[in-house]
Amino acid sequence: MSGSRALWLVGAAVAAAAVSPWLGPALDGDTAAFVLRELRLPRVALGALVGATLAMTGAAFQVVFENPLASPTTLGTTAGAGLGALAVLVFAPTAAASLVGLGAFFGALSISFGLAALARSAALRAEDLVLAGVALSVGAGAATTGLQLQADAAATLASVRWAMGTLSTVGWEAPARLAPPALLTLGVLLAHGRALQALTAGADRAATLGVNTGRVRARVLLFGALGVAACVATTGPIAFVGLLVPHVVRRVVGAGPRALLPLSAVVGAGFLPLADALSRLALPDRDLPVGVVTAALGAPTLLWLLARRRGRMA
Amino acid sequence: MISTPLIEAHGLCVGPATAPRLSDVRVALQPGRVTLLLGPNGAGKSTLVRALLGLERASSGQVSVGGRALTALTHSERAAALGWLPQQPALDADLTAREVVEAARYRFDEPRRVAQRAAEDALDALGARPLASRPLTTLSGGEVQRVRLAALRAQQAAWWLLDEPGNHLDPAVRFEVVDHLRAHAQAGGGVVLVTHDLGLISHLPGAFVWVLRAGRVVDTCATDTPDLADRLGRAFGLSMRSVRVDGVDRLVVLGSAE
Repeated sequence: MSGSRALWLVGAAVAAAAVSPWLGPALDGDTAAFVLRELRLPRVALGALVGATLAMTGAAFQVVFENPLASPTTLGTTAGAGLGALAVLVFAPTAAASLVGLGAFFGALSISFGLAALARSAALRAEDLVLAGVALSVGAGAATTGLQLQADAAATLASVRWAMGTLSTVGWEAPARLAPPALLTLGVLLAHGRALQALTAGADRAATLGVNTGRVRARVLLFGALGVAACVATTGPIAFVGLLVPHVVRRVVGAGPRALLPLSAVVGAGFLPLADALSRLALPDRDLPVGVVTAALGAPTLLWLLARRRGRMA
Repeated sequence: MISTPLIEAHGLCVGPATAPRLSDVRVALQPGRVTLLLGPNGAGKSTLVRALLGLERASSGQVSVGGRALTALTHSERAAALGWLPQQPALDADLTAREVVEAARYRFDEPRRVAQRAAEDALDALGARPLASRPLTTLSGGEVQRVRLAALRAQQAAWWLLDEPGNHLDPAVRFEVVDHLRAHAQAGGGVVLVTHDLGLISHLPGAFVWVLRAGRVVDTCATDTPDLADRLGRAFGLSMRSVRVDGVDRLVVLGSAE
């Protein structure tokens, strides 16, 4: 691991988060203090929490699934959330927004619980788990489409809007509500740093070093899903942060999981507020969902990673 | 001296009954001398090692460590009894040599500082201290093997189980590896060595030999058994002779048996 590059990365992330509230239409006049305190700063806090949780969960998933493409998005957590949110919008059209969040939360958790139950068996190979995650993801997606066909136009539109993901928030309630589950996830994942470091040599080797691989996999999956579900319930799905950030950190610093997890959290906490501020710059009059910006950056990066991986295997 | 438990397999079967990978394997492995697992390709040597480590589920029979069933041991008890050097290492994840060795200290509940010092000591013992800060992916085959041996050493398991540790290594490094194994056995530790390298046999006088073929134990002897060449020749389907060179018996392969 390169220590100086790690410092550089942390500095860049802190700078990104610090500059984010000042990007966008100029702050002046009577409303400046209000906009900053009640709109932009809570938004940065929310973005930092979500970015840190998604990025660290993605980093941990990539280790336990022994797959560089593992992330909450590719393993069905996000699809489960979408299905849960839509179910609430369809079956309880008059429900409050917080109930939609609750539906997303339980949708995400139920997919991940299923996967964690499979993961407890150490006999199951990591790639089988990834396949199971993809299958659950596709299944949840199909159920979502089926439900949309049954739903009226208003519910479908609302679910599509919800699925775009936004950090839009007023006041400090949302970040305050998200902080406990997000910090719990970050803490539990960090506590598994040693086990994850041992797991980089493969599940069998880790088991002979004394790692209870089935239990570590199940816990990382459960607590990762808990934090991600809380994020998705608050902001809607925000794609690719969990996939992208750990790879960028690995590429720049070359770190094992023990350093990769905290660094990914810091970089995620800087990247997402910055992406949000950039979306504000791109379309000042309209609230461009940050999920669109991260997906626009993430899709080509994912393709590039795939191309690189193919090249290495050939 | 290390207190090293006896490892036994009692009627161990692995794999489906119709196509077993191990059938009715009975072995008793003793510390103090190196134990060689020999046999042709597909004999089940690696499977037996994995079963002894608890990585293969026994379809019947069992493995016991110091008289206790392997399946009754906790993960950390297993890691204290048995360390593994697998044949195909996963060369992953940007870890440095020091981090790889440090990860082998997982079973110890100790501050990071202590783990780091133990890792450096182990690297020192293998003459690999200068490699400590290098990513594993940048090392040569021989250097990687030194680092992996250092990890095995740092784990401080009573038994070392090694699967073809000499593959892809030049002869000098290969003999050096064997010297480390012999030293561990002489200190009271246990060593199980899976190898195809019959040239090592003369380098390990008095080692125990278990010969496998088609998933069964077909012979057991020691490397100083007088008719070793005939017995191994039968197991491998080879014509072999023992030839005395400079006062040491060496196995020579003459060709396939007719």
